[in-house]
Amino acid sequence: MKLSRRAFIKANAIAVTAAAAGMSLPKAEALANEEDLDIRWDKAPCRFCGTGCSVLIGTKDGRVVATQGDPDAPVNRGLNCIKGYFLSKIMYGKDRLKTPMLRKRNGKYDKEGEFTPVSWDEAFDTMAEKFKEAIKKKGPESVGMFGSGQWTVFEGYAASKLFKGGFRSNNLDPNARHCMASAVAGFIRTFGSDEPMGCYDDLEHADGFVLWGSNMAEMHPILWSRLTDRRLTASHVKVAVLSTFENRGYELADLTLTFKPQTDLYILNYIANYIIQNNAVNEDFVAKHTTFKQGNTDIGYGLRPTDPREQKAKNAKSAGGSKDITFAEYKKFVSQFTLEKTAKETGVPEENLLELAKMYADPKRKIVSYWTMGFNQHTRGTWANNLVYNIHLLTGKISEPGNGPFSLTGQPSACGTAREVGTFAHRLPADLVVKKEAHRDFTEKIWKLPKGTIPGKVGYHAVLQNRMLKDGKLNAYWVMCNNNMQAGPNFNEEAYPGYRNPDNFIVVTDPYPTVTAMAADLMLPTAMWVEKEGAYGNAERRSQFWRQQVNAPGEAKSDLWQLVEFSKRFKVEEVWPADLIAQKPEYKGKTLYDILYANGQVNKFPTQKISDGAGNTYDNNEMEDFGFYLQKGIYEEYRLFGLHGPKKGHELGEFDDYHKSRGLRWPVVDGKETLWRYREGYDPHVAKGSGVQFYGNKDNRARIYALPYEPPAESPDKEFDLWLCTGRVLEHWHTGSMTQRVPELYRAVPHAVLFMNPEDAKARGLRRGMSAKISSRRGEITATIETRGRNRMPKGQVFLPFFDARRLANKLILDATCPISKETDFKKCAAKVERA
Amino acid sequence: MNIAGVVVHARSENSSLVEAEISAMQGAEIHAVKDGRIVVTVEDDDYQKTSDTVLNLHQIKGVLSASLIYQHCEDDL
Repeated sequence: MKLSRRAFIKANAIAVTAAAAGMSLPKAEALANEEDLDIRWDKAPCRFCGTGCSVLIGTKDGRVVATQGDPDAPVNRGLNCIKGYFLSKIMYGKDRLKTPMLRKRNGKYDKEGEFTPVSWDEAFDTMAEKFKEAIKKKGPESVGMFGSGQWTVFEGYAASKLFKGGFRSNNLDPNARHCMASAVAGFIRTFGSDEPMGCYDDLEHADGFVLWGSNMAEMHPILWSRLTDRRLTASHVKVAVLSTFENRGYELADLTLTFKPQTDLYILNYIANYIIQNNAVNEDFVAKHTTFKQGNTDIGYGLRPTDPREQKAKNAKSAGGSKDITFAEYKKFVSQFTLEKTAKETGVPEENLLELAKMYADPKRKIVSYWTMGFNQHTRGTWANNLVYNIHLLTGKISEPGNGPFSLTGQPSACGTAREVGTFAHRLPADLVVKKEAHRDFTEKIWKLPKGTIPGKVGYHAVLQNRMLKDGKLNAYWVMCNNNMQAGPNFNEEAYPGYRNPDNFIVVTDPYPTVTAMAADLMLPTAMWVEKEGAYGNAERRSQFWRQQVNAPGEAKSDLWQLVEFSKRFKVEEVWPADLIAQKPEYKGKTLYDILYANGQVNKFPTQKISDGAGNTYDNNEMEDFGFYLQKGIYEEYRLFGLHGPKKGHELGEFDDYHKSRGLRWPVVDGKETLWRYREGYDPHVAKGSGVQFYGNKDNRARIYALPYEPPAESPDKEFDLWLCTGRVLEHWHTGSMTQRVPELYRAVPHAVLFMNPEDAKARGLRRGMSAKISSRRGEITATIETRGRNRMPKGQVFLPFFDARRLANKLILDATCPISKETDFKKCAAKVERA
Repeated sequence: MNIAGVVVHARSENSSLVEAEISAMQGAEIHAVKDGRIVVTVEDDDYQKTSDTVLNLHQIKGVLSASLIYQHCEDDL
């Protein structure tokens, strides 16, 4: 019996795998159809990157026992990456937090005390006291939250509402600030609306792919596998890979360009110049759909205002400013970026630059450009995004199948949650911003709040939050669903002193005792991934929903439950001034819970049985605890922003439709998703006969920006003589808080190693396998030298992954940001390497 | 017991070398090959865990990508 079950499962594995590869193996299929395995299968998007693969989750006896790539999912078509293999195991790490833990001494809270298990009541009582004290003493600006692109849509929305509408503090920012902010700023500056115009369907339509710094082979393996498939099955397709060092993507590449850090700004401008000089401009497109701008230069590095580099920068305070120019002026501006000069400054051979420029200029070749952290984590990250759009706009290669610039994302809901529901310090749902009164008014109307509830001042962004903690201006702080102490830059000088500042109370919600949680005063245990009902939005605007599959261990409660339950502890009189309450006398004596969540909208949908088409039933712990369908109520309220908000093109579908589909790409109009935005025939918002409308801007045109090269904040010098770049690896996801707890992944890649050029190693008396000390002006760590393997470093540069909690790579990084997007540059600072 | 199904991509000119390496791996078996796509299953055996073998597939020279399609894990099988 056992043997036949095993044989059956294997046949199943063969049949499913062959089908995903586009092959049919009838013998295996016949055997696979014979038996039923008694496993409940249901779909969920993957917990890791922003690709948004759908996974089938096999549950047996309350535990996830199997996963498989979802064959019905348009994103991954049955494929899964290696991390997907271990998805079921991330929930079962031995050190899962199962109860709240508060630092206590002699039976009461003490910042210098030991972590002690406490009840939810004691945890929330202590926490509420600290938040109230801070608001009373210093006002709403003294409370804040650091959220996540891994939050579900419901969680991000609940948090945004609690902080901006409840506590009246815009000091809410997501960890997506570290990965996506430059992409956001680039989209807004060029198109007036966030997120890509194209979608993954471009992968099968393009004749060329250009990877700008993105190591897709390791970081987005499923999209890479679709790209590989396209390259191997269509011989005319060309793949160009640009990076500051050789990565796994070089194996497939037809053209490679290894450039000096920061000089991508030269290459981007050179291509624009080449297109103009060789009459490859799509004149009609440019005339009809674009305008030109000159952006402010000498904009600084987002460092503390006391830093000499900031004081010297002429436009540090108006980094995002620009003025209108003509096409002729733009042409003149880019004419300085000649082939000779670009080759000299970048270190890339002329013929490689020329070949890349020709790919873009060829009117017959459809091109997709991909990028992730190379562009975004860049002190001129917003510029890099603007500059790649220039190329696609000049050639008109945008917003149609196979043609378009596409910003990839690193987190499962960086788009759906962090960006779309407005968890950034300057944002509100559906592309609205706190700075505009009309946007605040609209938000207050939907949220049924008195006029003037939401402050108009932009809150503290990620890096600023740590500085304000250190300076004692931000005193009650909640970190949820991220590991910022390990992920963020320069923690020796900013984050750690901030968390341990005696004036501050720090709460961290996480499934595991991460580096960040251990630096807190209170740890709250949470339900993760399919231990709750959720929704994520991926990089191609696709929102995907899932049902709760299993229960969280111990007393762990979802982030959503924590946010909503915590709001019950605040009477409106404790957080709002009297004149604000006077506008809505019916709110007197009410709690924030009554006002924000039991508001007749969010609690509109009663409890119901959750079941799928096959008749299986599922739990929903939040529905049981609050007595209404919380997720549905939140979603349907959030949807009003897209349906009636002042920014066009953000419509979402109805809640129940997403549970039935493999996701839908917004805008969703009349139940239909949109594959290519801004293009007539695909996007219902584009007027008939206009062809293309970039309707994020009032004049329906996109902006082409003249932006030069400017140097990085810190470059190698005599003492710190190497470029240091930090980043990710295939086997681990970001800070490794989940994947490092999977024994197999830990075994495969247990430690971060320092990738280095063998000659650089030799010059320092080092060899492969030896231990070395890596230091910058901000700290030092030790790691083993690797001179071979997946990354091949050019001379003068080292690469260090940041997943390893015992080697906190990012503490070496300078907290310099793009001054427009406020995103840190993790890709270049000065460091030295010595024998340990 | 663990069983996994994996699609491995390799350029056609490298495929036979890649196939030979996969066949030599403990617990790995090839079921079909077409257009640079290789259908592989991996099982536990006495020396090697499925997961380790799957991870090792990525390290074979010439492998462009390895995508997991199916995995099943049950204790008493």
